[in-house]
Amino acid sequence: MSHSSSLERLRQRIQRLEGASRTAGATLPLGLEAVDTALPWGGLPLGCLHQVVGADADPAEQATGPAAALGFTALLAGRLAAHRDAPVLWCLRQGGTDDTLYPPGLAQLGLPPRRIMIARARDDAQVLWCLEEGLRTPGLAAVVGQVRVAGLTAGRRLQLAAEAGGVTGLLLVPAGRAGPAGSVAATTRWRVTPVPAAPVAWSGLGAVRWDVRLERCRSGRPAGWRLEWNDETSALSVVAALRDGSGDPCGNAVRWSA
Amino acid sequence: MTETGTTATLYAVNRPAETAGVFANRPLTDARAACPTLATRPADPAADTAALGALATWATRYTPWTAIEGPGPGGEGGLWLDITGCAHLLGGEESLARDLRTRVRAAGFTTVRLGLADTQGAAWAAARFLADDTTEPPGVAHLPEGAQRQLLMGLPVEALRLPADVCETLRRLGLTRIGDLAALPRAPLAARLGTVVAQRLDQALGHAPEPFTPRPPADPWREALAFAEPIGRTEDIAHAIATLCRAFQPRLERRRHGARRLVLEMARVDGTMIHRAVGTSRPTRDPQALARLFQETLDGLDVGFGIEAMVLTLTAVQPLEATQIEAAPESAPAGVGRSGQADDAIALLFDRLRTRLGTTQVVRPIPHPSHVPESAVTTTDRRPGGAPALWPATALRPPRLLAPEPVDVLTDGRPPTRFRWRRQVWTVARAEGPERLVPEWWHGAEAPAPDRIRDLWRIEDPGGHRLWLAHEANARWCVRGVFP
Repeated sequence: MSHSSSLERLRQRIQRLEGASRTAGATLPLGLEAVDTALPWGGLPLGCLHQVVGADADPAEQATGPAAALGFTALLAGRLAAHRDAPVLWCLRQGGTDDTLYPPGLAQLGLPPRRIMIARARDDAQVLWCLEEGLRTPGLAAVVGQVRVAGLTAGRRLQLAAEAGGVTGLLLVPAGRAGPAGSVAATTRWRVTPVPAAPVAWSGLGAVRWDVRLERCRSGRPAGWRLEWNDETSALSVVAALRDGSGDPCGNAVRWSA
Repeated sequence: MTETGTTATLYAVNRPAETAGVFANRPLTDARAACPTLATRPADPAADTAALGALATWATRYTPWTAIEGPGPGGEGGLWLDITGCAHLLGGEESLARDLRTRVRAAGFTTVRLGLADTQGAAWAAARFLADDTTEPPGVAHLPEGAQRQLLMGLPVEALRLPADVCETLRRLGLTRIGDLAALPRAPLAARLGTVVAQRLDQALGHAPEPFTPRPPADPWREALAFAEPIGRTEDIAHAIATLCRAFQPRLERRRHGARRLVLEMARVDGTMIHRAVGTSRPTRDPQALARLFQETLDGLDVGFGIEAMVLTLTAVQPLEATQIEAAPESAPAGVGRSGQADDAIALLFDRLRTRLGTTQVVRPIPHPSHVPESAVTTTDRRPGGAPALWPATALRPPRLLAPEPVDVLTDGRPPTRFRWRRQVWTVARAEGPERLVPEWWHGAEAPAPDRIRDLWRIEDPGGHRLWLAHEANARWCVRGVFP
């Protein structure tokens, strides 16, 4: 048996172990060519778990919570809701900054309030339970969960639930608290950090800009882009590609020069 | 025949016995003297009540308001039907009465007498003293609206539903007809015989109100399960709940109803009861779905030495018509032909979350007509569905709206260029604003934040973080929101 064929068989076996059979299923192209080509599925894969984390060691985000990541999550959830023409379940913890969602603000990020169902849980364990229930409910477009800490086991459970129900899960975690090495066994992990907007000619704020880094991507390579969200046209565009962090095969602990 | 102490009394007699001179409420020995061949059987009032109850339940085919009276000795007792607003369904009062009589006779009751009148008292009197085979239709006494008083006046005083001893007194006084009674002045009558006579008279004539108390709806939605041995394992309890839920299914299907609220009572061996209640957001009769709802309430269940009996009651049911499940192929994309099932799945999820988290913790936002940001949104705990609400277009709003949190201004400005908030020093690199919000004066004193004119800025710090900064009327600067 030739060397290459056994390597190919091993690859297929690993893909099977990783549940890659599902990846042949539906995807949602983000409409950004640079991002869609970086994703091995040609878009955001549906029916699996995606993790969105905030900026690492950012004192401002410690005060406000992961704001840019929230914006990016709402954006993805809105696209998923429009794609499936179905509601989105948003699970969060009662009290605190997490519990201050303002639907008109989400609407301006593309997630219509009539599509939102909010479940207010007591603690992380309940949030994870709600997430799992939601992910197993066909008929939902997406399930968003805001947790403080998510472990590897919880992530694996959510991933399995998402595969069983065919619902896409978005797990929003503050940076630095995403469990050991930030891994929750999600299909992708996106780190969203705010960057100053481009200066504008008038005295005001320009379109909001985020550095969005695909830190972990199953059977894909890490990549990063500077994205701009125009709240007037509701358009997301790529400003520039960030320096590729392909040096780290695990996709963990990737450091970026901003 | 009933036995009180040593005396055996006749409870009820049939027509041949009556013609032989035997009457109810007389001692058995007297009856035997009059008719030595008399055959007797012990009376069973409970069975009579049950039979009357069954008849009353059956009679709900004519009106939802039915009641039973009695039964008592001597064939007392009967059935009340309040047919107000129901008669036209069977083509009028006459034809309803004829239909009712035919059906009851067909069921084996040979003598059926019906009284039809405007008041309960008059109907009672008509059924007992006017209805016979000579009336038209036979066995039905219909008191027409105008002639009611006149007809009542000719009836004996017994027709007023008075206690036997009062009737006896009236007869001794020579007052044999209702007409004699009605002609008398009220005050001496009441002094002599008590208020009951005047009250019954007024009720029969419609001068005094008489509330009608219908029977509670029959056939309670209740299923019980008793265990030979107390059960305690969670799996056993879940299995028992599933069994109870399944027990309802045929009945719910037959009646085309679905459960809205369910109460489960579990009797522990030590005599205490455990209650668990769940609700559904729309009528459901899928036993698996109902059983799963109870699963959420069983965490931390203390069964003590075990549970020996379970009772499941549906405290609220609603009509639920059978729906056609569309035969869409499995491969059909979501939303094609399977939207009904998807809706069902979401409704079930909604119920399960509400059961687990509390009924007020699963909400949907709905718009509220106000331009004050914090009152522009309210929530509803109703399940998704219905017409989409209209959300007004506004200036840019943050996805997180905070309660006003005052900041420490470090460097003045409009907005301040440096301030401290949540133990962080924030520097304003750029700002956009102000957006002025004036109070909704047209609501008067009930307006949200009635005396607050607010100026709102969106600010960005050098790191790109954006906040919503408000300048309140009391010259305080507050953070009101976080922009992405």
